[in-house]
Amino acid sequence: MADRFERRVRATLKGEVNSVAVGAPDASRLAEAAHRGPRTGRTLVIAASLAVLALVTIVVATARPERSTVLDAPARVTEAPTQVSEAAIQVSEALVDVTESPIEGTEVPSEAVQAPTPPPPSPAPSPTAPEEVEQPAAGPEDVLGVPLQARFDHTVTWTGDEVVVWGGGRTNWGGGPTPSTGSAFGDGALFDPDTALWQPMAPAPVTATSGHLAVWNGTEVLFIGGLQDPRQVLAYDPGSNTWESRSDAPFDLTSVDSAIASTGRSVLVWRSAVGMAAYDPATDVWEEVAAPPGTPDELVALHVDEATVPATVVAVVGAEGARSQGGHGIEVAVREPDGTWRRGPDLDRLIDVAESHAEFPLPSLTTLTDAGVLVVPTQGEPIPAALWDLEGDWVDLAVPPKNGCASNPSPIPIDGDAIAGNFCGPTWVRFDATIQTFEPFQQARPMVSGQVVFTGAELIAVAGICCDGTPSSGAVWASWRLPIGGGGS
Amino acid sequence: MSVSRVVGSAATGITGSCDPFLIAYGLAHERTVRLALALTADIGVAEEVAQEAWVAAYRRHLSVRIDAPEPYVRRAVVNLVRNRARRGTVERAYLRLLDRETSDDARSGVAGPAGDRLEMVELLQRLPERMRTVVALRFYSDLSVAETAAAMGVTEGTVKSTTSKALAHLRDLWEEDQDG
Repeated sequence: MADRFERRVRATLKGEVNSVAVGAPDASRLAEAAHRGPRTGRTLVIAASLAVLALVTIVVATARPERSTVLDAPARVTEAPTQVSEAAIQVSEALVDVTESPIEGTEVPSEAVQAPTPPPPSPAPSPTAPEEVEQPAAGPEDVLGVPLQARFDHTVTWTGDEVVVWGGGRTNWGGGPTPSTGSAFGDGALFDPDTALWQPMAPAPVTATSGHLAVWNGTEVLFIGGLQDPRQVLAYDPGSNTWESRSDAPFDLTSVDSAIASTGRSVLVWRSAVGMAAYDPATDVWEEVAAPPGTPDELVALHVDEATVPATVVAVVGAEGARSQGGHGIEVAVREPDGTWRRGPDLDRLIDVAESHAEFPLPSLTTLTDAGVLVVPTQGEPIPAALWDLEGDWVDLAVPPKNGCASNPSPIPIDGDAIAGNFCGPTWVRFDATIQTFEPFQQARPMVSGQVVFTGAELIAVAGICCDGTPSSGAVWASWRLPIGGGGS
Repeated sequence: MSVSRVVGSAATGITGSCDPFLIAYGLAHERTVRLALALTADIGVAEEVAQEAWVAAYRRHLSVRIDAPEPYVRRAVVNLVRNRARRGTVERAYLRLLDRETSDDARSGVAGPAGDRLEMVELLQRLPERMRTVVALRFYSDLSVAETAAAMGVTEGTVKSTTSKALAHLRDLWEEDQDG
């Protein structure tokens, strides 16, 4: 009976599916889409969805204005990039400032006196000749002319047009999860990847800040908290190079024990044992909101995918080791559209975080990919990575390729995939979310945890630490950029 | 559509190309669209998913040569369909907040050339995601147990047990449908 039904399923399925007309393949579209950059197709779909949702939203909000308060659709998705000639003029002028008068009080690295060399222009996409497309560069190249001293506990933020580097401390973390409370920097600079030029930021309305949080909300960079004033909120507009002080956060926030994320219209800050608050930059109003469930812990992370509607927000709590071995394991939760949290299954996985890297706890081993929440074990451990698709159970993946170095991989989201790097070795791995496997990515420089941004075309690391030794060996300047092509090298 | 016509289409897209990837694209594109159709019951979604999978594979091919891309694309299609379902869940929840129940059920109303209902394809959509995928890969794409396991990222044992459960579940649905 089963065989007979099986044959019926096979025959009927084939007959029905094959009866539907299918469009012819178009290789020129394939090449064009591949050259437009990652996720373009998906972005178009999302943009179309947003347009429809926006229309629905307007209609519903007009009819039932009391419901409009729940809307939190990401605004930045609809904004077009605005990098125009005006910006180029601004940067050209800044070049004069940078080369002739470095920011007062800073030691400019020797390479800063060299004229920055813009990257060679990329050839225009050639859909009809993909074989001629330039391959990704063999490795990172230096970012030159950095007008800032190397530093710790600063923030590096990508705005869509420029990298914003601001604040930080003069001394090391000291081997533990406590940023220095010593002297800090109050300066910062913008880096334009298109021109490879730097522009100093206008002086901030505070003297210095380190160990703070930063996020780009689509129009301004918000710098929140920090060791010197853990409730301060500053807004920086890179377009006008101006600062504004904003209303204080409702509780103390530092990069040690807090997380930040922009969901489009609002910014979420979370300190696990204290609570979560949403900040609306348009009204300068803070509102305490439901915090993720789970065991309070100092070590938290927020991951956001703004390509979904509404933005997908995942909260991660965790500390060293599996719960069964005295550690914490990993707890996850997803924010529902109504602002409540849905807790996911715990991952009771032993992932050793070496003492020397204790400042990089389990949440920093996680990121959000198109396939779900990814946990990448430290590369010295022969244990599988894990994936949670936000619905079912955790799934074990393969053990990522490693280079024998027991350090933290700090996965960075790359267009729905993730790249994990490493302090003490040059081997990175790329997680391909489409087929959910790891592969060696690039023989590159050691990754600089937390100070790397992805621009959509390349990875840029600025003002990093510890590239050739341990954190206690002192600041080693590390500023590089790595074009990301279709994948690994 | 004949194979020669498909290959011809691909060849005209990339003038003078002898790239095995593009030849494979011409040969296998239709198969991947139809696999996605079996998984989604929506030809528009199926074509989008297949194209997204081929673009992802081609982008990878430009840096790490892939001469036989179909297994990669097949797995990509399975994952992309699953990801879309997950996002759809979130979006439907969002729309419910606006008191707007989803009316655009993408998995209904598919018709063949003569307007016939695609009964088996529609029944397939009522199976859990993993069962649906197993049935589509095993009985539409004619993959072996090992190939199905590779496409789904699961063990062969899981494929065998899921196939058995899926057929039993599908038979129940089929009989209900016939009775009704």
